[in-house]
Amino acid sequence: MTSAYNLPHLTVGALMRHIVAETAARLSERATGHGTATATGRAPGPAAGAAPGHEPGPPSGGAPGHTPGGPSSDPPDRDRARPRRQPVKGHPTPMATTTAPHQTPAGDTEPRRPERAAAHVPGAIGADLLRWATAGSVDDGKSTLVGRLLYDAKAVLADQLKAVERTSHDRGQHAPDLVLLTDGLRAEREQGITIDVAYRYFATPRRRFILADTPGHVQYTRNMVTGASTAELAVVLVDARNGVVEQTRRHAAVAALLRVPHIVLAVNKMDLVDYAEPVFTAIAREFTAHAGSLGVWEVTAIPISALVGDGVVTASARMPWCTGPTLLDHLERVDVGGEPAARPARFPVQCVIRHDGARHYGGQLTAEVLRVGDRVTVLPSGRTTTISSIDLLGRAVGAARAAQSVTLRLADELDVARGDLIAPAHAGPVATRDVEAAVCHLHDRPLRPGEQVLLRHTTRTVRAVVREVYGTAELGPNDIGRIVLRTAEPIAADAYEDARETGSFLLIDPADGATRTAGMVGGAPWCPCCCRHWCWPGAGTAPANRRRGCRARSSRRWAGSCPPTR
Amino acid sequence: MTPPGSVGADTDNPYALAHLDALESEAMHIFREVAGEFERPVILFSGGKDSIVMLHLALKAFTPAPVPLALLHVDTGHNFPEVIDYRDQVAQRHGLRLHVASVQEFIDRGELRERPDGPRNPLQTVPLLDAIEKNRFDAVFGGGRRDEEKARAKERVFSLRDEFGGWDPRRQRPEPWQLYNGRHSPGEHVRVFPLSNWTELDVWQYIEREEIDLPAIYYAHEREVFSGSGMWLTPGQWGGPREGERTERRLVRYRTVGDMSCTGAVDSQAATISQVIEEIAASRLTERGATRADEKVSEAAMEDRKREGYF
Ligand SMILES: Nc1nc2c(ncn2[C@@H]2O[C@H](COP(=O)(O)OP(=O)(O)OP(=O)(O)O)[C@@H](O)[C@H]2O)c(=O)[nH]1
Ligand SMILES: [Mg+2]
Repeated sequence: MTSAYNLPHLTVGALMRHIVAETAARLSERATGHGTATATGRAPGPAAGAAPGHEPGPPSGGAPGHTPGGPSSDPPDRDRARPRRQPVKGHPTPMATTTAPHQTPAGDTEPRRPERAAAHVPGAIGADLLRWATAGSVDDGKSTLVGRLLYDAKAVLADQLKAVERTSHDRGQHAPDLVLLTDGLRAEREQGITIDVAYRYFATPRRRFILADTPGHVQYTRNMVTGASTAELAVVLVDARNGVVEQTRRHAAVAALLRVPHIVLAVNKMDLVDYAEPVFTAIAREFTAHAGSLGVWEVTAIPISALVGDGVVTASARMPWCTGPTLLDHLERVDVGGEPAARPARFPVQCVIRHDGARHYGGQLTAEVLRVGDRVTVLPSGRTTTISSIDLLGRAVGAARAAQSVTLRLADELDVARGDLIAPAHAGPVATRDVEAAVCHLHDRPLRPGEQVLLRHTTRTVRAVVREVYGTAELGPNDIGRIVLRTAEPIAADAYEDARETGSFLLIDPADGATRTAGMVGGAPWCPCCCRHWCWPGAGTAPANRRRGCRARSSRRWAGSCPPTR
Repeated sequence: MTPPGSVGADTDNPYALAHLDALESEAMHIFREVAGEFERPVILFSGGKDSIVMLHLALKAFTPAPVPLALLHVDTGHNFPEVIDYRDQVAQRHGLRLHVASVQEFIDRGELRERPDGPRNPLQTVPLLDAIEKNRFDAVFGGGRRDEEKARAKERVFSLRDEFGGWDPRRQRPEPWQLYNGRHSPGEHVRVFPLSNWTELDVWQYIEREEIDLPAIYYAHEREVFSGSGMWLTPGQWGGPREGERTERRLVRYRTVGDMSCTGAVDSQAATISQVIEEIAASRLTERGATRADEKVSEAAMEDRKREGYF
């Protein structure tokens, strides 16, 4: 296990060349069939969300009755040549979480990196991408960490640094204040807190990163939700002096509810507690227990000092007891490339493009593959037809895959409009007018039973009424809860845990258009009424368990401040 | 579960799209959302590389049909002639309606006063808002990118503007997932940024991949320039050079294109797109840091302008 990963001094140009070389190495690794080692020290378990015994396979060619061969934009043998990755998530016990730095998922079997191939791969400009967000209470050091990371990773350009130095100097500070790299609003700089999410884009030789630095203040939880909703990893910071506080719990709960796949605990300001291991261990243990009660199986805990730079990009000599990876190390290596759980194709229709008497349906496929000739259902009407052609931005293709924006044509003249969902005929979601969901309420005006709202699901907006708010009279700003809605027209939604895109929705105020609530169809992974019980033990792994529901629903409302359960 | 808009590798993960494909696909999604939700959308088109890429994306999003959007250019009166030619050709080639809001006309009518020493960039806000109001545009596409500037890094993809065109960064709507809320009251409008997640390098790589034609001033060429505000400026009607500033011939190119009085050229030998990409990848300055005089004025210059309704 590396204890320090020193980022070499690279210009961005060198970085690009480096990425190209890396890519070449990966390609040659793949071609020779080596490199199946993964960043896990454990025996691989089943993929989270996949049924037990499900054999993961490449996304194309798995469905019965279809001729294999990926979308035509891809060389057909691309998937086959690649060694299959083993998922690292989904260890079936909640306590299999890590409490010490040397037990991170990266484990101690560091994947051996092949010698870099010298071959130049033209056009290979990409690297893996990780979207991640910061989280944690106000002043725990999120923005400082981001600034430190960008600075130490040499992702701050000269003029940006100069501007920060100038401002810091004007304020009488001796060293450049790194929070100024992301706290870009006047009010943020004046108050010294983050108000809204800042997005930053940077790359190391191993990965590209899109990072959302979110605010810790409880009043701006809505902005934290915005930043975390698309993240694949959240770094929750805790001030080593204060330990886990209420806002830490709330953010952890939001991240769990949004099902951010990877949670990292960064115990920050270690410099203020003499880099003492027991402080770190105690916080890691407490946080891990809390996360476990929220259904988060795995937490990687890393001690850092964002201000000084210990454990962020370079390992710290002041924490010899920490043998795990640095934060950047972990961010670069955490396995997010695993295959998505097999789920049926979904195509929300965004717009109808009429041309030469033909109707083309524009949209972005959110899952799996759709092929010319597939039988499909148009929801909520339920009529079936066949896909007659697929256009990938002006080019006819045989298939479209997840995340591609395409236009479809259908064999029959059906009445299809914006807001409809096209899904495989045998595997469409059930259209319903009764929606049960976990929600984060994001607006100052509380949400009450009986209220009329607009529900925005994929590209469809329908009127709805709040039928029930569980366990409480109303949901106030930043509350998490569970509600039941009745819609005026049916919507075709998946459970959020199966599909983020088709399982999420917004509640919008019909009067002024404000976004009031973020909703996730299905339930919370834990019981939002008491936060003490697992609603469905093993949620995400055993479909049978999922439907069992909570038997211990109490009338207490949960507002993010329950004590840890274990 | 892959998050929406998750952008993947070209190489390592066959389940994700190559990064330019992913950015392109996300932009298509945004354009089509606007087409589905708004009545009178318009693209802010300056003839600069970001707006050119934006138009290219719009054309792709609605193929085979023509783009259901008009173009709006805020002409400071001090634009590069090459860029104005390019703008007119593009509008004609694609049969697009081009609205021009002229800063000069506002100055001539006495509705705007020019600061004696200031650039014209901040003056664009009034004509812009006037054009939006007169034409009742409800969605206005801008080519702004979050990597450009620290206030832009905070902006939503769908950014609501009040009746005065103002942006209130403290009251932005939450925007979780890819669920863009475009609801607005009469008189309000929404600014839409399809390039939010693109970096300068992404834009150039995309231009290369798609073989998009750009105004020639983006590539290295010999030009008569003088040093002003610490950059190479082109002399012209706008007033430069002043006394004591001498012009010289240099090999330069423009990294951004805006008002001549405050957009600087950089020394460059990059005459082809691949050379430009190499140059940018190695640059230690941000594009605005290297080329914009007006942003050196104050720390929150961009935020202040945006609050007033600027792009
Ligand atoms: N001693 C010490 N101080 C730190 C460390 N990290 C952050 N700080 C200080 O903690 C204060 C708050 O840091 P920020 O980065 O603004 O905190 P934040 O989490 O981004 O706060 P919000 O965004 O407002 O929620 C600043 O004064 C930092 O200098 C650290 O590792 N050690
Ligand atoms: Mg902050």
